[in-house]
Amino acid sequence: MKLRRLLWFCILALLPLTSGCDETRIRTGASALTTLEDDAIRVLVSSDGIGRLAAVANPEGFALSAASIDLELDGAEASLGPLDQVLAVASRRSAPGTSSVSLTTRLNGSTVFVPLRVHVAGETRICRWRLDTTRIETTADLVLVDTDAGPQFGVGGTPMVTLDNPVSRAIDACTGVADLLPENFDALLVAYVRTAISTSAAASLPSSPLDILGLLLGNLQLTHRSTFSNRTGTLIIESDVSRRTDALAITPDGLSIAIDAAAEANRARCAPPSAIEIPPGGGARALDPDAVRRLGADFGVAVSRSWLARVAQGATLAGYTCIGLEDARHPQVNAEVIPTSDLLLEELGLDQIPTGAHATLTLAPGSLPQVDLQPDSATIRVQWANLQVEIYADVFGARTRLARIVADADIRLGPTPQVVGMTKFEIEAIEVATDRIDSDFLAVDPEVEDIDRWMRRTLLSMLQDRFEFPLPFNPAAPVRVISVQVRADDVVAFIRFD
Amino acid sequence: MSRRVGALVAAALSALTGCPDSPGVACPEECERGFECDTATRTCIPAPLAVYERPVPGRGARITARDDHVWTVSVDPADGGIVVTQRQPGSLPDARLLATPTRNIERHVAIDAGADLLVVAWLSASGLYQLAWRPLPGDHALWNFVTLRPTGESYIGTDDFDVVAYGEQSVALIFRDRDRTLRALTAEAPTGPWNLEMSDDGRTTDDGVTCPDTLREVQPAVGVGFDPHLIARGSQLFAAHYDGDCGDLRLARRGAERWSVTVVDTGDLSTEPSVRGMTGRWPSIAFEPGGAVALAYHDVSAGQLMYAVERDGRYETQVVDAGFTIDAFSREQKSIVGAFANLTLDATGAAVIVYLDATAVDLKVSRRETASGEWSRSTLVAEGAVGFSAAQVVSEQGRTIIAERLLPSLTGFSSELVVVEAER
Repeated sequence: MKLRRLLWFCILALLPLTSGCDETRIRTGASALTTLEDDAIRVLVSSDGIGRLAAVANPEGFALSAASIDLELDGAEASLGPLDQVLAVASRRSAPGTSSVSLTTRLNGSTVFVPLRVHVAGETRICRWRLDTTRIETTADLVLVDTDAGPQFGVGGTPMVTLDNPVSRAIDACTGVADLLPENFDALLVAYVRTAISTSAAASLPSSPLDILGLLLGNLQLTHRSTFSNRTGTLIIESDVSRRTDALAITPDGLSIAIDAAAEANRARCAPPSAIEIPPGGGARALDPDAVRRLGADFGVAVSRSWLARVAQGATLAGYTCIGLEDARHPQVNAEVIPTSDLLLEELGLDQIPTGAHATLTLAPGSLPQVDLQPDSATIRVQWANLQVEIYADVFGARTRLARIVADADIRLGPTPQVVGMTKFEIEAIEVATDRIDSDFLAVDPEVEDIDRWMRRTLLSMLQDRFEFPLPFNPAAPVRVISVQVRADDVVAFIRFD
Repeated sequence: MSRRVGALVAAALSALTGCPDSPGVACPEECERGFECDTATRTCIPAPLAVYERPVPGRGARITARDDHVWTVSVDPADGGIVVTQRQPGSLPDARLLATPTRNIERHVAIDAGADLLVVAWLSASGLYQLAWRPLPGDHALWNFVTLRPTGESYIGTDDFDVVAYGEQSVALIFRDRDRTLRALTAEAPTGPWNLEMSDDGRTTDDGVTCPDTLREVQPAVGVGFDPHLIARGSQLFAAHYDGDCGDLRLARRGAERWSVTVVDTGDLSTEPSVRGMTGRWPSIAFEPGGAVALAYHDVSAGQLMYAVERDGRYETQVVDAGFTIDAFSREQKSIVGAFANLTLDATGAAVIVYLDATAVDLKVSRRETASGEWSRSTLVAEGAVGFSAAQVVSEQGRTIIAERLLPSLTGFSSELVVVEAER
């Protein structure tokens, strides 16, 4: 799970990465970045969502567990329990409170098996009892408590337990034991089970709100690895719960979390020597609980525009967008190559070159991408100046550059809803303004319009399906992004457990 | 020496044509390639090669030298004609059309000058190698031709081959067989008989470095023997070649008895040291002043030019040109360099490697002034798409460097041989 969280951060940026974190060495380290962006990420888990999380955390059912207790019988030592049993859950529901969430778990028609050990005349006799109920219901109030490790979930008070129509009876004959039992044994048995259910209900609740969301806090260093040393750089990400007093809170709307974060990069030499530069802007705004509820989501995650831009630029500086020529293997097993005929080189006047059947494209950034949000069209705009694409193909067996094209790209990304396990964006539009084409193989320069058209199509094929990133949740609990909202200052993903 | 060669040529003529000593033989029908019928005597006499009138093409160009003569051979992509050109001081280049094979041989042709022989080899449509040869010194217009058919054995050749003339009259041709092995055709004279030898079956090596079956058998299994470079030292033969399965540089050498094989470089990747990279294409062998085997080659995975030298039975490797330059955006641009690597070494240890910068599509040269010196790099020819089939030779004329330049037009590309004369 931890690695998955790391991967999320690794490719959080809206960037076309070659092969994701396969090419990344991940390290955690001491805090290094001093200035964190306020509210870079905000999360709202609805009260129903918290209930779903409790269910997800206990997929087998209700884990009833309790140690044995001693009983004083007439002239004999005895113990009741222990209990270790999973009970089927009929339903779970949650209800918001002012600063807590009340989680109710109903178990229908459950039978609890309770061993009774009695030590008589130097020997131990065991007989089993069963407690049948028509309904068991437990209600626990989930609250936040301050601990040395930071805010954790806790249970406010003692979980309430309701046992409807409890009936106990011995399963075995319990010869020589039944006579020793006190008259109130049934009441003792019910009380023991009731206490056990209460304790188990508290234990079944998640302890850390951050663990629930799979958010990683602290310092993370993602080193891009490559066959080519000039593509090696490091993206440094640091995050922490916001310093605001209400950064982590349970409210009638659910559990809200605000996270501050920063991103820097040790530049790969293939990247332009620029510094991360983000236009001023606020952090992510609070999520609309009505929107979360209306869409039937369990969670909402808002990522600020400036954070997206910062990570995108940082990843570019770290070499993550220097792409291509990494795989020298045979075309049959080489994932980089594409059929030369698919490139439509005739549009550039390069079709007469005596090339082999396969070609490779490279991408190199001449600048850092600018990320902007367009709430009116619900798109993310990525402007990338001096983006360089090179075409390589075998010429007489040597992998040779046929042409280099430098252009400014203006890409608009639209969210793709109903995607399991990740937030995905598709390229809705791409505009290209070619600066130049360099090739020793050209008899005459192609028309600018032809280059633009070719570049637009090529970038589309290179970048499509690359703007996607996993979600910060436990992979054991499959989730689905049901909707993505682009706001002026942030992008919100609404997520539901599948 | 020349008298012995003359006798040999006469014997070869007799063997090939069957007519010079038989005045009544049917002529011209029975004159073999390289001969024509003398209508006056009705005998087959050597046919001078036609002068090649067009600009010399550069496709698959190779070069060799002896004394103050330099010869190049290349292919005209328009019709597959093989053009052999002689350059000597004080004369214009003498280009001749050596052959026009029916098979489109595209770019693969080999040439070498021994002490007494100049040989050119190519692959015929039948999968057998053809050898053209003439004595040195001799008339550049008069050549002899033979098909290499080993006694009692067969082979199917590929476009990966090289040829060397060594000893008094010996000729060896190394090639990648269709059975995915490296084989050699050898003869003590170009007229044969020819022996077929297994040089490297891809399995056994003397240094114990092997290509595991997990790589050797994975499709597309292609075997060993790519881009072979063959060189002779005395009676010893050295053949460097590329293992297409493991991506290794291998060196096969034949002593008095047998061929032995060592793996020069497996190209371990820096990002994953346990993973083999692809290295060793276009190897070129030379000898350092102390006699150590040295090789220049292309590291395919890293896209760089490499140099390896044998020290105490092991090979030390170094990067000659990693291909990094600073571009207009102040970024470090990676260029793919080192294809068609061609190495020369002199008695002082000064080394010169010519090769293709496949990103800029330029002809580049790397120099090392002494055996322990640093490498310096420069672009030799940058105009147009140039640098394919880069090759060089040192003769009494100096250093001659050649490469192919592709000339684009609206209807396609033509090929031009670029020749750079330089001091040693």
